[in-house]
Amino acid sequence: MNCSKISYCISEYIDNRLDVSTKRIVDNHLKKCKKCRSLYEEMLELRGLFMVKAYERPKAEYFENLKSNIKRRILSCNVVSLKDRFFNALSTPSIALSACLAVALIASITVNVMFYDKIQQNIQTAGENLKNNITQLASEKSDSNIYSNPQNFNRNLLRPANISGSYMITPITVRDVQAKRAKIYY
Amino acid sequence: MALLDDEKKIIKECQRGNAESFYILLDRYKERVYSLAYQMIGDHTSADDVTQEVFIRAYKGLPKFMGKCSFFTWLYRITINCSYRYLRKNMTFLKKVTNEIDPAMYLDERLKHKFSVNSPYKTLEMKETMEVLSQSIDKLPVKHKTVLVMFEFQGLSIQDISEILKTSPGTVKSRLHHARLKVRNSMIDVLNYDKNKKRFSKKNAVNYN
Repeated sequence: MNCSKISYCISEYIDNRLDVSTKRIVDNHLKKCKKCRSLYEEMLELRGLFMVKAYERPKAEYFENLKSNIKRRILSCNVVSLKDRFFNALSTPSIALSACLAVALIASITVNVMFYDKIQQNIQTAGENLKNNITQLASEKSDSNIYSNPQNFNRNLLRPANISGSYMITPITVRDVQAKRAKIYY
Repeated sequence: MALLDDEKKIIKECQRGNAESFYILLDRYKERVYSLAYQMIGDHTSADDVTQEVFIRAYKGLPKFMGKCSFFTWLYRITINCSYRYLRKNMTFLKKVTNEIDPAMYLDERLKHKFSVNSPYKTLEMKETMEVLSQSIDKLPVKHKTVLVMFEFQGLSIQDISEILKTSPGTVKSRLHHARLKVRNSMIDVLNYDKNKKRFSKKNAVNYN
């Protein structure tokens, strides 16, 4: 073994971690080599100094403050703030669902209240349109052969507005055309 | 290191939400955690901060503690990580502070008695050597310093250190050796001072005779 390997072993030698055979080798080397012996002695001295330094103890009063501080901080950890508690509650699914429904309900109520006049007006106009439609249909019904006349083919395709306010496309039955199709949808 | 039976009960109670049983653990380990943090950082107020941080983290993380290693290993790992973080954050601040601290201030009374041998000169000498020692330990790289502090000052075994740092025992041994070599190289004057003095006194003695 050369000196560099021995120097690593010296550290182990000091801590008593070497097996018997290696210990003997190191012992023999230390007797011969002056450099390694001085290293060994210095290491031993250093170990003594470390042992002295290991006795450094902080004063007991430090721990009194420490414990009370830690206790206070742990207690403050346990007290969850109102904001956190609110958001924690929201994370459970049943509460989240009911919250969503509540929000939707509130939104619909506010819309109804704010646009009450407009909605009423719309409903009234829709009702009038329906009335007109019905009267028109009743008048047209007397004219029984109306669809058979090609001149009247497109006459009633677009009816006036129904309740939804748009024009409905109605199916028309065509009787006189030779084609086999019974209905034509526009 | 296996989990102690006594601690198992305490930890189970803590995990149920009993803060009182955590204080038992706090009482048991606060001194060790504090001294480790102090030796890693070298400043009392910082060590105080780090110790508080460690226990708060431990309290918060206790539900995640599975019991695979001992509580003490787990706590030491937290301490080491916290002090690394603290050192990284406050590097510039600590460089100014560490030199002002008197390292031999809290020496144990018995030890003081043993080393001083009732002579003020020797206590002063001891103080100076301790100062140089702590300075040279501060200069070490963090990894070497950690191993040195845990082995020499905390009295942990190589196996425990390797568990705490999550490395192999061989790595721990080599780091320890390199740390010792570095400290020895930076303290070589102080270490040889005694020898030189002895030689000098011997020479004097010979001359006088």
